[in-house]
Amino acid sequence: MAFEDAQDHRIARISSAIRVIPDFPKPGIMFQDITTLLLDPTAFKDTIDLFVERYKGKNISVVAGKMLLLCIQGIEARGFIFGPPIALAIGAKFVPMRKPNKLPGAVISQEYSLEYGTDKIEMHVGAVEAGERALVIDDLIATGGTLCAAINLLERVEVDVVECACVIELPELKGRDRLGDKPLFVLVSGA
Amino acid sequence: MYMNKCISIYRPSPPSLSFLSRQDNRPLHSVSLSERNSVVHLRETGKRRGSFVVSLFATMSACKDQDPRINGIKTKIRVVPNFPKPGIMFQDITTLLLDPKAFKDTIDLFVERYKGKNISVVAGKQLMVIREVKKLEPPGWLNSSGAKVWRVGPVEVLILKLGTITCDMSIEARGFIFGPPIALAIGAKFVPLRKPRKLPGEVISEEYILEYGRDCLEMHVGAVESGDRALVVDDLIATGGTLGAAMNLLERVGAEVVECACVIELPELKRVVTD
Repeated sequence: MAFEDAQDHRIARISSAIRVIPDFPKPGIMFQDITTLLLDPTAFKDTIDLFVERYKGKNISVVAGKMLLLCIQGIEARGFIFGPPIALAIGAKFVPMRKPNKLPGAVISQEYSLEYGTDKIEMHVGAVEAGERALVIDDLIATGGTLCAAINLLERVEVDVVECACVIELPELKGRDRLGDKPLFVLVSGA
Repeated sequence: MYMNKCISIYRPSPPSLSFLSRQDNRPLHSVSLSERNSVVHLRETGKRRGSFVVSLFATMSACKDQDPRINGIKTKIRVVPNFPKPGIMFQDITTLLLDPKAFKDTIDLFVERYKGKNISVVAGKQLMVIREVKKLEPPGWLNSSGAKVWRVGPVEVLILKLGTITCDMSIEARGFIFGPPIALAIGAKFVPLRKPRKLPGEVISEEYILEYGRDCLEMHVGAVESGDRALVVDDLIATGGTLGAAMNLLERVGAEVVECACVIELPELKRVVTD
C-alpha cells in the first residue's frame, strides 16, 4: 500500500510535482512525467529521503536500477535517476539493469514477455554476489513485467531481493499482484 | 568568483591546456582536477567569454599530488576494448558504481567544487558520441569534415571522426547517474537533456553537426529559466561536440553556463577546433 502517515506533506508535494501528459508517447496513454519532480529540489530530495529512511541500516548492499522500456509508458524508465542517490545515501552499490547491447562487459540476461513478443534485461557478470541483499528501484510500476524480470535476474545469481521500490504505482494495472509475495513500496499512486 | 575572465587552476608544469570549440567558435577551455600542482592562468580568448570544462581526471595524465580520492576513482573505471565496435576503448563507469566509497568520492569532489556557488541547475546529457581516432603525422593543419587540428605542446595530434549512436543502437551516456546526486547535494534542480522524442512535454531542440549528418539535443520548455546558473554534467568528455550543443541550449533560454563537469576526460581527443 502507498506510504501514508505523518509524512503527508512530503508526499503531497511529490505527488503534485509529477506532471501527467496525455497521449504521450501515443494516444490513450497518460504519461507520468517525473522530470518536473526533478525541477523541485525539495521534492526530489524528499523522494530520496523517503526511500533512504526506509532502507538505511537494513543491511542492503545492492540497489539495482532499470533503464528499460515500459510497455505501457513506452519510453525508458528512469530507475537511473532515483537509484544512484538512494544507493549513495545508504552505502550500497548501484547496479544498472539494461536492455541488450548497452552494457559493455560480459552480461547475464533474463527474458520477459510483452503483450506482443518478448524482450530481455541484462546485468553485468560479477556486479552482484550470492548472498547480497538488494533493492530494485524504478520511477514507476505499471504491469510489473520488467520488475519481475529484474527480480528473476537477481535471484538467479542468489541475491536476496528484499523489496521493490517505486515512486509511482499505476494500481489499475495490477503490478503489485504480479510481484506476488515480493514486497512493494511506493510513494504515490498514479490513479 | 572563479568564473571571471582570468582564473587560476592548479596544474602540473609544463601546462598542457586542452582546447575545444563549440560550433559557433566560442572557445571552451579544459582543465583536469587531477593536475593540481602548478598555477596556470587562463586568459579569455576572442570576443566572448569562454566556457570552462573541468574533469576529475584525464585518462593520460600523471597523478602526483592530486586529491587522494582521485586515484581510487580512476582505478575503479574499467576499460573495455572494442566496445561497442572494434578500435574503441570504452570507459565503463558501471564498475565505479559498484564501489560505494568511490562513487561517493566522485560525487563529493564535484559537490565540494560547486556547493555555495549559487548554481540553480544541473543539466545531464543522455547521449553518446563514438569516436574513431587516427594518429597524424605532424605538423600542420588538417581538415576533415571542416575540423582543423593543431599541436599543443609535445602531445601527439589526433584527428577525429565523429559518429553518434542512434536510439536503435542505444548506447547512452551516463550523465543521468552523476547529475542527480550532485544536484541533490547542492540544492539545484536536475534537468535531463535527451535525444529527440524521449521527453514527453514540449521541448526546445538544438541541432549539432556530425561528420555524417546531424543530430539533436532536446530540453523541456520551462525547465530552465532566464538567469539560472547551470552546470552541465556528463561521465565523459571526448570532443565536446554534444557538450557544446548542451551549452547552446541552456544559453538560448537565458541560463548562464557556469561550467561543464565530467568524470573522465580523453585529452588526446581534444585538439580539434571546428571552423
